Amino acid sequence: MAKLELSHVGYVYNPGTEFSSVALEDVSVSFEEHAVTGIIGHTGSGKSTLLQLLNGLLKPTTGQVLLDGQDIHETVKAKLAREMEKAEAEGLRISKRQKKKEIRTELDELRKTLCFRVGLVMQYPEYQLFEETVRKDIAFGPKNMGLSEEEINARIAKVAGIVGLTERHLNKSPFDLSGGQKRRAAIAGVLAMEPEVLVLDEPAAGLDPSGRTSIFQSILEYRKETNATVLIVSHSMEDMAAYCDRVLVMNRGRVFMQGSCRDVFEQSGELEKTGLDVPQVTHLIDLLRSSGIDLPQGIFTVDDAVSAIASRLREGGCS
Amino acid sequence: MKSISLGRYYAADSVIHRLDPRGKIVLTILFIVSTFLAKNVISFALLILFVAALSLLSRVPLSLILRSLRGVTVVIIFAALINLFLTNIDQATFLVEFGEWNGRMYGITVEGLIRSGCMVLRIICLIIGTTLLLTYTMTPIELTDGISNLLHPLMKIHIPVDLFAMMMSIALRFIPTLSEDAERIMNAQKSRGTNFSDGGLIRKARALIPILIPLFVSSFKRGEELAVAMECRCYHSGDDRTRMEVLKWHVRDTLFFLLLIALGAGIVLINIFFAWIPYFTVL
Repeated sequence: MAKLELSHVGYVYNPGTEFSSVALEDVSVSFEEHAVTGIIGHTGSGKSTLLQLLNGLLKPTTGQVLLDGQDIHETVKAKLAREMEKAEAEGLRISKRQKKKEIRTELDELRKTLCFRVGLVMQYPEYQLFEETVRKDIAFGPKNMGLSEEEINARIAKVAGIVGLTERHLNKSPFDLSGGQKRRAAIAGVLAMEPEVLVLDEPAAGLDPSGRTSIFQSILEYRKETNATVLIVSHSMEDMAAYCDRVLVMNRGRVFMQGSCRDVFEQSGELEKTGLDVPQVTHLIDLLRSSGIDLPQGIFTVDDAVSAIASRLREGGCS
Repeated sequence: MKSISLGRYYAADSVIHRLDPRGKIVLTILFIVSTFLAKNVISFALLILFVAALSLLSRVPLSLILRSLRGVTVVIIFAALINLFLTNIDQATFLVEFGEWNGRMYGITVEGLIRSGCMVLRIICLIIGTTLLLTYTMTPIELTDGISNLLHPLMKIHIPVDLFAMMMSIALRFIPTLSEDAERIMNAQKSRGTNFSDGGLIRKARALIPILIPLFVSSFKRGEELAVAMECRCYHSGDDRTRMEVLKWHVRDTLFFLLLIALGAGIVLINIFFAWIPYFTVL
């Protein structure tokens, strides 16, 4: 079942003014439970707007955002009408007032907990650090959730392990950390809320290669431990190929393509039309293939390429 | 918050846009003086004519011009009511009498009505005229350039006008950047469950801490980076600094200047020569 779903979503900034601009148009996507979905697209393709719709920071101008099948912006009145109709069809008699009260508490609860259930890590999240110590900063989200002291401490220990921060780091001021450590501390602050859906906007931007790997490893480890659904925006096709199960390609506020990594990267021609690219290693394999070396198609990661070329060499068939 | 653009400069190619910023600043001062000199119906008609011509020439859409009045609606209503009810002129013609208090009659008078109408017109002309001249048709950079140019003589008595001008243009330049930063940080903290709207004053103030600290940190960082970048390009202040765009005084600037002087003089003359008409001089 789809964990998170967008149905015909459109978003317009500053509607009705001379500054109005359409950011998203008729976007329908569903993000499967437990899957890691990569979102790619050019600057201005609507990726960041899309992410902000998911945890309720922005409200879609048209269409719906559904979490576990529930429209996150549904009004009490609309839901009541829907439920009453359903009950009537089933021949059940229920008290309208009672039902209305139930629905109101349910929707209030949903709105309050939405940002904890869909955890959003913004671009350059280290800018959000503000507490005296890293420990306190990670505790900020859980505290807002109203968790107990012990629970918060347990969660800090857990996420510190996931992102690789030691006890020494936790007691430092976040402003004394290095760039990569700051990034990890900030991500830990969102992981500590244990969101069911983890959304990350370019989590590895501006980090060195080892920093990138460690960030992505942490994300995968979090998913393994909590079974969360993960969405990652990235510009790096290599990262997409290496870490994502599915890929969503955005172009000019619309869904351009979606499917498994294989489905998407096989259509390199289509991708190039939007100014995007396939992973470099795929280019290399294509070049080798066109120069007559018999290698399989559909290689998107360096590891796959290495093993394919190695087995080709073992066969001794380098013509 | 992206819609906030300071000064709300409206980009267009018009005579008013092309006027020299120095001239426009002085013109604005002359215009403000003229609005306060206007004391009767004919001079107000002259003012309105001038503002209408300015609006047409500037090619700024009417909706935008009217929007500049939105901020002062309360002031306009307040001024209108005060003048309507509290105009005290001896031997006023009463339309409605409310009663006597402290030996004075209170009520709505013909004079009060005219005075309140003129007051409203004065505020409207003042706001539209100044926003057109200073903000809609002049970029903040032009404005600081103009001011620093006009204040240049102060350099003679060792007031670092050029430094102040640079500080002002940097401050103006960074308002949109900082507001973007603030928005980003606010979104990040909202995503971690900060609630800005609930609770009392103290709770609301406390909710600002997670926004203000990162904002301070990032603006200090930006300031430092900018300082280094400026030093790398050998920035220094002083008289030998040249400008990329040198301000030039054109014939049209002189014409506009004369026009405004004529407006001011016309208003003064009308005040003097038509004063004998009943109900004429109201303010």
